[in-house]
Amino acid sequence: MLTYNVTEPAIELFGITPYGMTMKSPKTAPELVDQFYLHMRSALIETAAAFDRIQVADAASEVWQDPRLVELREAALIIAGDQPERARQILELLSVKEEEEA
Amino acid sequence: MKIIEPHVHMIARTVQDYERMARMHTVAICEPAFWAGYDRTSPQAFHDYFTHISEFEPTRAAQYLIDHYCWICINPKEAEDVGFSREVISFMPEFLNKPNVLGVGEIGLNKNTRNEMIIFEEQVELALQMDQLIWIHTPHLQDKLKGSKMMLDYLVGHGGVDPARVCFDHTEEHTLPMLHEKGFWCAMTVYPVTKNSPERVIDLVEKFGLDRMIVDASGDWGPSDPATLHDTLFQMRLRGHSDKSVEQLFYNNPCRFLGQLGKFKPQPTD
Repeated sequence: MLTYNVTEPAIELFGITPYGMTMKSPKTAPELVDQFYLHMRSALIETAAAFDRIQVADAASEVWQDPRLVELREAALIIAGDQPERARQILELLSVKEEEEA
Repeated sequence: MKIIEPHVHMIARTVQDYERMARMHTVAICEPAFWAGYDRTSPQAFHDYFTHISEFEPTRAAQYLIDHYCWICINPKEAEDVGFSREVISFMPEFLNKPNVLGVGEIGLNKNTRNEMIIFEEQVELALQMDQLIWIHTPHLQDKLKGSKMMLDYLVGHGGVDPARVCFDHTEEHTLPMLHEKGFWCAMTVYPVTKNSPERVIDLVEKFGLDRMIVDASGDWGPSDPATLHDTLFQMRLRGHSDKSVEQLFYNNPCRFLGQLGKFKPQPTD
C-alpha cells in the first residue's frame, strides 16, 4: 500500500502526491460536472435498466443471487459512498481473490 | 502531431484500419504476438505466424507510410502445454535478431496457472539472455489483479530485471499503482467495453503523471478499434491539457520505451 507522505501545501503548489508529479486536471470540479454529467447519468440508467430487464424475465429468481449481480449491487454502494478511488475499489471487488483459484 | 500505436494486431484487421490510422497521423505501430482466436496445431504454425508479422505486415503498413514493428513470443493462452511452448521458444531467437522485432512479447498470464507461469519465466530468461525489451499482457477482467501481482512479484524478486525495459500492458486503476511504483512502464488499453475508457485513461494520467505511461488501442479480432487511441488523445485535449503533454503521452513516451534497443526509428521531439 502506498503511504501518504506529502503535505497539503505541496499538493496545492506543485501537484506532488504520494504517486509523484501528477497532471492535475486544468478543469474545475463544476466544469467537470458539466462535461461528464450526462455520461454519468446514462451509465447509471443503463445499469438500472439491465437489472430491471433481468428481474422481469423468466427464471429471474434463479439468477438474483448470482455472485456477479451481487457484486454489482455492492459496487453501487461504493459509488454512493464518500470514499475516493471508487473505480479501483470496484475493480478490486470484481477481482479473483488471492486465495481463490482462477 | 504524430501518433504511435504501441499495440495492434494487424493480422486481424483490414487494410481500412491502416488507412484510418494513417489519416489520423499514426506513423508507427507495434504488433505483439498473440492468441489468434484458436489454438495452433503445431509449433510450425507459430513459425509461419512470426514470419507473417515480421515480414508481410510491414509491407502492408508501408503502403500507408506507417513503420511496422513486432514482438515475438508464445502467448499465455497457448502456454499451458509446456513441451509445445518450449518448441516455439527454441526458434524465437531467429526472429528476435531481425531489425524490426522489438523484443519478447506479449508474454504474461491468462488464467494464472502454474504452467503459464513456467513459460512466462522461461521467456523472461530468454529476453534477458538476448538483451531484449519485454512487453507483458496482464490477464482479463477478474484475473487481472492476481496475475499482475504474480508477475510483479517474480520480476521484482528476480534481481536481474531492469523495470525500465519492461512494459505491463492492459493496466487499470487496481493494477497500475503497484506496477508504476516499482519502476515499470505501464500501458493502458482503451477498449469499447472490457478495458479502459478514454476518460479513465486520462484520470490515471492526471493521478500518476506522464512518466513511464503509454496508451494503446490493442485492436484485434474482438470488439476493439484503433481509433480509441485517438479518442483518448482528444479526451486529453478536451480536459484542457497542453499540446506538449499530449505529444509526450502519445508520441515521445512510446519513442522512449520502444527506442531503447536502437531498432525503433521514430525519435522523441524533445
